[in-house]
Amino acid sequence: MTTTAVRATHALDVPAIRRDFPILETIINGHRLVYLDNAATSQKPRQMIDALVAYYTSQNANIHRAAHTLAATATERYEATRQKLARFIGAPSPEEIIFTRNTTEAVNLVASSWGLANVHAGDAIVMTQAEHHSNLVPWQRVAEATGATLTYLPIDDGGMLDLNAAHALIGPRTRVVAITHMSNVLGTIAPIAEIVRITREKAPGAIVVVDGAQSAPHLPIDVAALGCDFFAISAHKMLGPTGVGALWGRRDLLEAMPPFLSGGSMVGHVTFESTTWAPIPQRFEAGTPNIADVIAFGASIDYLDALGMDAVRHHEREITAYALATLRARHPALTFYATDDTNVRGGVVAFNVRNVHPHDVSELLDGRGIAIRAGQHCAHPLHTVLGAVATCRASFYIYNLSEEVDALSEGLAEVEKVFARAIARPQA
Amino acid sequence: MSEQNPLYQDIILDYYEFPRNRGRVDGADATCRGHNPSCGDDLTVSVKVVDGTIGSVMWDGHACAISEASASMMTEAVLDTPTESARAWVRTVRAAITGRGESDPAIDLGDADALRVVNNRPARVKCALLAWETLDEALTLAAAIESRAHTADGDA
Repeated sequence: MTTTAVRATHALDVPAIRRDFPILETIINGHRLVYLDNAATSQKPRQMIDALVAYYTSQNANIHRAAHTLAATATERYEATRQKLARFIGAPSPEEIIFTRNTTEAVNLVASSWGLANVHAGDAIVMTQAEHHSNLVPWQRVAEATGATLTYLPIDDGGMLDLNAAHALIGPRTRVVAITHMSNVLGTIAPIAEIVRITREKAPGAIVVVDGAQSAPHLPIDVAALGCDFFAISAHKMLGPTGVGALWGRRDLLEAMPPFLSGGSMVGHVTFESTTWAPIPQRFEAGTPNIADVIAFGASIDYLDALGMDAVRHHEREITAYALATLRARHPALTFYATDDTNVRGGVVAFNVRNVHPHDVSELLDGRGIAIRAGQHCAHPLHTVLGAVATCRASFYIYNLSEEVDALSEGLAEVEKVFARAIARPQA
Repeated sequence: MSEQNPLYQDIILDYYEFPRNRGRVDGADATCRGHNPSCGDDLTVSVKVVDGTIGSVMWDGHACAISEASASMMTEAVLDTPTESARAWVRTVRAAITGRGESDPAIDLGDADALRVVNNRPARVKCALLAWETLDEALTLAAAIESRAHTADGDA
């Protein structure tokens, strides 16, 4: 695993970081924003916003076509983000990075292109109980179209993937192992390298597809070390703009895959009768892409690089440990759903207040300017496993302070006061 | 507390903490499930109609305070009323909450008037309306079953 390396790491200068995020000054319902919904989307640094504005102000041109100076500069900047991202996640080459709209589209690309061409009736697609719908529904559709079966690896009481079950359930019929790197509900980190090892041993023809939407913003990522075949991310969860995601895939797999979307930009030569495909990555980037946001995303990667992902991880372990200790000590009516061990989890904390619906918790916190998420977090099947109709979710990032954990705790004290009689009853 | 957020005024908390008519109607004519997938509100309304009047109505499930309180208010409001009056109640509550559609001037909302608190909270309108919309569906279903039964009688 890449997450627990004990390295001398510098602490983040959180007050300085906060000055780069203009939205953190916003007043919500009379209170300064306490933003704890980072698993949904992160906030954006000035550096990214400036890059976006600069592009539209003075650099706008379409890429990969005209010979004029602006077009050449735009192409160069767009491709620079591809190089930065490749380096950021340890991809052997930038050609293996495909820009998409988001993680969902990246997974759909693999499912539609590789999946429909390579999965057959009787094959098994193996996922986990903790999948976000984005890495579950596309595979259900592949199974429906091909006659493959679906298998879900169980999680244990601490929200950790059960490796014994992985040994037992990944087998010769397995064609796809699709797995979330960090649960968007529980924050738990899956042992990807171990799952890859098991898959290579038991199912040599299978691919391992990793949903990195929650991990890439928060952990140092090295896809080569993880050993997986595909890795999907969303820019907007890692300080970038919405509308950009990326898929990393092994070159040999990508080169053998049929196109996903077709049209302009992804072709070699087109006649009235037929078409040849462009080499990767263009083959998978049909049409004018999201040039502005890809370029702006480059500034987000620079920002995270400058902080250092080891330092990011270190900060999140500290604030998560502080949050869990504080909430457990002060709020006995809270239920948590995952292990407290920050060696194997990130800063996504799901909880419930006894006999109070998450929507009510969130509503009262919002009155104090505190943003958390309430609901099922695009993980309906996981909630049936947790035995919860819905959960509250607080999630941390680089700009969160321990004072904000304290504000959350004070907000929960108000929830406990408003719902005192309901909480005093036994669990419904 | 309630001065901070009017959603959690005493009348709503009272209905939430002391639910009315919670459970399932034995031998219901129609049972419908209302679900709000974005937040996980999940209510089931069951109803028994006797001679055009709602003889029994209950709700079950788990939802937020406003949604559960609203469900209890709904059952109190429409129990022992003709189905047509129950439909008028649904329309009137819908109009009170959304500001759209027709309300029946003869209806005094009583406790359910508190549901107007979601007026300027679009995210919570669906919560407050869930039980009423589900009752509406259940009455439609009960009427369809009833008319099919009549048709079958006619054929026989």
